[in-house]
Amino acid sequence: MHRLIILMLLVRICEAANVCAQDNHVLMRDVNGFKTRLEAMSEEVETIESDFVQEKQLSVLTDKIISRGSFSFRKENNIRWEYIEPYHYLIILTGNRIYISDESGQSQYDLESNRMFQEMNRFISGCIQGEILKNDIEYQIEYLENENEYYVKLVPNSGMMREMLNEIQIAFDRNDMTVMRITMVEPGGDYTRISFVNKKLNTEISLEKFSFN
Amino acid sequence: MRNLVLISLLFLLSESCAVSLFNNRQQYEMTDVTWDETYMWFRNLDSYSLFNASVTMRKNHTTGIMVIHPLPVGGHKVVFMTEFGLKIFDMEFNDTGDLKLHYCMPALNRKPVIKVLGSDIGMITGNGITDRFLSALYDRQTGDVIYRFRSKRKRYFHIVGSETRKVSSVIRTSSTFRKVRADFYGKGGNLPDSILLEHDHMNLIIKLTHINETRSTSHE
Repeated sequence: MHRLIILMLLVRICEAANVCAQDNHVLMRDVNGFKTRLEAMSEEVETIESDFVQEKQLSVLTDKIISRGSFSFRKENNIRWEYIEPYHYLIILTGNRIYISDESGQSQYDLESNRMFQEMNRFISGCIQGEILKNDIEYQIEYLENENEYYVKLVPNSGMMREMLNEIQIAFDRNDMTVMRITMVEPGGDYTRISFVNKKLNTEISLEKFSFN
Repeated sequence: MRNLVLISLLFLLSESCAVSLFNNRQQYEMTDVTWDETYMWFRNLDSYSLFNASVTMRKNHTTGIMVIHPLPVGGHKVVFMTEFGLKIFDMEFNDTGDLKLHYCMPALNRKPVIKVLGSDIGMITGNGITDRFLSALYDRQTGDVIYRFRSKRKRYFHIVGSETRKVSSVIRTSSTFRKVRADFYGKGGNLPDSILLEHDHMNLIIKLTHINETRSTSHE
């Protein structure tokens, strides 16, 4: 009984301190400062090139499913997301068009004609440029930090969205304010984590990289 | 009484229709060979396998990754997700073929959709279907053997290739004369290289292509 009380007290203390033991995240002290820095970064950065590693955790599997690829962004609204291994999948979002190339072929869509792709575009560019953090109507936003990163948790307000995603976590590098990783946690605890590595900012990226030919 | 006669007639008609798939006497003959579970794909696996998947359902088309994982107690777990990792559905088939739906994205979560997808994916993993063996036919032209089964009011025909000793096709017929066919392509082993499943009465096509993966541990 004593042990139980001590355990409960410890849980309460942790909750009260808002401490995430794993990553030592604490409540962000200067949220406005963080937002200002993020906005400045968003203004300054014209292009981003990066590799990414995507981990898919399914509770039934002992191993994570790992996929890798490259990511390119060029202002305004040009995004190229390419999976290289273990499968090939390319998605290009540019203006109001979307291009997809996969094992089954190639296809193009008008973003305005497809709500799902519209949302996807808004979500991806929102995460990369930090615009998603301005959306406190659709998400409850919690701001945390540790010595290496700013860490933002977004909990969808809409029931429909919450059926798909319990929480979205975005970690920003404290040095350059770029996104280090995005974690999408599903109901039930399965998650997808995309970590960005080998990031290069403001390098020359030709518009051809976002062309559909 | 009238209903009973009508039902009996319909039943006889459906039986004859199912048998008529392979009723060419010159091509097929009855054989007394018995079913061997090793003819099935996705048996004796110790880990998950990944497939590029495309699902066309009426006018909708979606692609993604399908994970097929053997369960230690028998049966399979099947997860279909987008390339970005967002789950579309998560199903589990036990060894008697019963379906347990763990998750389906709200836009698809309709009873008829789940029923059709569950039957089709279950046909691919083959759980619980081959428990009730009826008879076998030998194909004189190809040397293939067609095994007939009955499971949950549906008839299944498993065509086993003479060389691969693996199921090359599964045909499912129901009492409403609807036919679904899944073709498996591969050279043997426990995993097919690709699968194509089609309905003859509606535009529903599932294509799976095996992803050759080099397993590595998480980078973190």
